[in-house]
Amino acid sequence: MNPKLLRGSLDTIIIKLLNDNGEMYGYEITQKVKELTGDTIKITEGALYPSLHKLEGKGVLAVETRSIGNRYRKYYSITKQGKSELATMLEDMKAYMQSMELLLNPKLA
Amino acid sequence: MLLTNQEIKRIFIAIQKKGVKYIDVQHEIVDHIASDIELSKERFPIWNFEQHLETALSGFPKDFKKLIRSKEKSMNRFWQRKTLDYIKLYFQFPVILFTVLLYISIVMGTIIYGKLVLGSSLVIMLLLIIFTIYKTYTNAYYSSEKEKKYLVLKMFFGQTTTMILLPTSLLNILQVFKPEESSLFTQHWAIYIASGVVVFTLIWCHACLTAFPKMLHRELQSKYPYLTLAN
Repeated sequence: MNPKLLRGSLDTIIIKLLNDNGEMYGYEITQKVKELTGDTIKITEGALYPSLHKLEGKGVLAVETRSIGNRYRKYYSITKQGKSELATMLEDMKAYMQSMELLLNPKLA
Repeated sequence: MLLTNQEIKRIFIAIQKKGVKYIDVQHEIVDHIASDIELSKERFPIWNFEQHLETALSGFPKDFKKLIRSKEKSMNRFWQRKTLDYIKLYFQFPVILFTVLLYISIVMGTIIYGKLVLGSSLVIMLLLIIFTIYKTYTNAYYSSEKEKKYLVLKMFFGQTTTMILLPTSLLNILQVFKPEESSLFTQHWAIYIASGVVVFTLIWCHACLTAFPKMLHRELQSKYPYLTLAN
């Protein structure tokens, strides 16, 4: 899939995944997206981490670091503010998808 | 199967070579690459470690600057939020009354008793600024691993000291350091501004010496357990 199409919806994907799965780490998010979309959507590391950092800075995500054997892992989870933003984001996404459907398949309308 | 210590060390070196100098940023990337290699080892057991590493690194952009910039922006935003929360908490009834009284005292004191009141307040403020910056610096940088660079400490020090120095730059406009030529001690508007700067700086220094270090320690405990501060 064209990564440009994904760019605008990456935040929504991350927040939705964290809302459904509880806490997750960066690599786990990329694998989960691949698994759920049958390898259609591949989130690159160069796009994922700036998004995670941005959402953390905004207070939408909380972070906890834990020791995993000989290294440390950052777990992201959704905050109260994130949960309330998710509802709006999903509504916006649905409206966008419906509008795109109307544009691409005008006969269905 | 988890990677060995030597393999983890090799990933750290590879990332450092890519220009990622901050330890806290390195930790996040190392875990991602290590997880990728662990999966890759299961899928392609005949590959050697360097092949796995090269494949895992290819997922990241060649230039890590964008990633570091996003982290800097995120931290900036984080400290701004924390600062705003602190200001909201600070400005409640008894304290706000004390602050207003302090401001009025400096203004009235200067108008009635002359430049000695504002002058001495400015001297106290400057001494306090030097002490606060020194304390903040030692608090942020005198960690157990002094030689290592952490983005979280750099951003904390940058944010707090900028806020100390920013209002004092207003005093330059008022030519405070050449009082005989300036209007600072004679014009009421200049006295109001200078007194405001003094009060704001005192509050900020107080926050830098008391509340902000606690915030930093809480932040380090949950997000950066590998970093312990000496103070």
